[in-house]
Amino acid sequence: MSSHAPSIPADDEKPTTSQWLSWVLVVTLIYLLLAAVGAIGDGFKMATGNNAKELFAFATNPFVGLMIGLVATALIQSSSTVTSIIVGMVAGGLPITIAIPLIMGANIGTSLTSTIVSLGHVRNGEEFRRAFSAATVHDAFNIVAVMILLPLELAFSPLQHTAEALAGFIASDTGVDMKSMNVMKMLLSPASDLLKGVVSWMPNKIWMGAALIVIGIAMILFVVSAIGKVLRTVMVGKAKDIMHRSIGRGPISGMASGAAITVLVQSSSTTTSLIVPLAGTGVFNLKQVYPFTLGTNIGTCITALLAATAISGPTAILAMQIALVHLFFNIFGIVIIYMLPFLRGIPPAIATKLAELAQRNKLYVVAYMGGVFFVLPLLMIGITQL
Amino acid sequence: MPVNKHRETENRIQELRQSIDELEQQLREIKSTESAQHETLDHLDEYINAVDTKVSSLKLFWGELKREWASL
Repeated sequence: MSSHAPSIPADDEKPTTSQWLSWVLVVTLIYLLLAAVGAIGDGFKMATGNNAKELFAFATNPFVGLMIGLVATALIQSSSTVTSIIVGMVAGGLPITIAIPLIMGANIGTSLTSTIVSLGHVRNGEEFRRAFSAATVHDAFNIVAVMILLPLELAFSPLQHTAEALAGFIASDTGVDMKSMNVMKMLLSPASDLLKGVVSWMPNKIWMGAALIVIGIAMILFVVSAIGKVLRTVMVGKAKDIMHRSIGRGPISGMASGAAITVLVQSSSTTTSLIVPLAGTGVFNLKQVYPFTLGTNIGTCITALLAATAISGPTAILAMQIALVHLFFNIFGIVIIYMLPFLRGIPPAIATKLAELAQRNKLYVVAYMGGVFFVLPLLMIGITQL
Repeated sequence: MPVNKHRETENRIQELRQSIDELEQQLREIKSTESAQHETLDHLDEYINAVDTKVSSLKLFWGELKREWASL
């Protein structure tokens, strides 16, 4: 435990000025995130014209899309970054049907982070077993969720239709007319104009668009990392309060606290990694950790929803739709897997077995992590492209 | 009959006492676990940056893997 990063004072111990500065920084970073998502959308439109579908023809196979989302998130180590980029790409013309498997893949890929964190307990056999099972229960749940929901989505499109209905409802019900000038567009236009000005010297629209996409992705990578660091410092006290309150109150409270803390720190990786050492100590058991990690899946959707608000114009509803697909995928996953008693026990059983194998021989860990997150996906992409 | 009734009642009391003892023991265990959880959460500041230990965790694991491999 003590090997982890140095402790940060709780927010109530911090000086007020410092807290204000932190909040100003958070607001600035959120603005940059929204500007970055807008830049990706604009860049995608510029670079592809009306040919986004053709550009992503290689990912029309949903399994390829799933694997791309998985590997990309495993490499970047942030589902918030990947989902925000996907929102921008959908705004730029990427068809929703291609984006949905990408989102599902990102959900699996993000669980690699806590699994890596659990490796830090490798020297203590029992502690490692507990930490590894706490981390892999998230992987197992997300994989089972995809195994159930992806075929259902391909057959009946429940996520696409539900999100479509709600996206339209949000757009009209809140009075935000996404098809014309709105507050968000006015707020973001200076940043958008600035970024377009930066790339205006380039020879043609394709280059300008590509440059905007690269700048947007770089900005999202920076913002998500920075905002996570700032919010962890500012929100640790709140997170502590939430977790204290949820003790002894059952799985729904555990889920709610996982979701709330993830919203506060804007990163499911932070929350799922935080619970790993707590489980490693043995003070929290897998039964308590499991609903908490499911809550983080819900909480992490806030970033894509936030990113979608950056988009204005005709594709704004599509951007909101893909963000809502992310949310509904996680809600439906919990409703189906956690609420049905015969499915509920599957992810913890997989995690327990994996942890036993990992404790017995470290090569199982290498085979599992390398296989699930990199080798199998890349192999599948390769095979489908033959 | 009254003697039998007495015995039955005494047995029932004993069973109930045993059940109460077991429930009290369970409650003590739950309280003790929850107290340990609250105590751990008081040090949440030490765990909040666990996500930043990815590189050191991988290095540590790699070292252990090599050591385990060499000992085979």
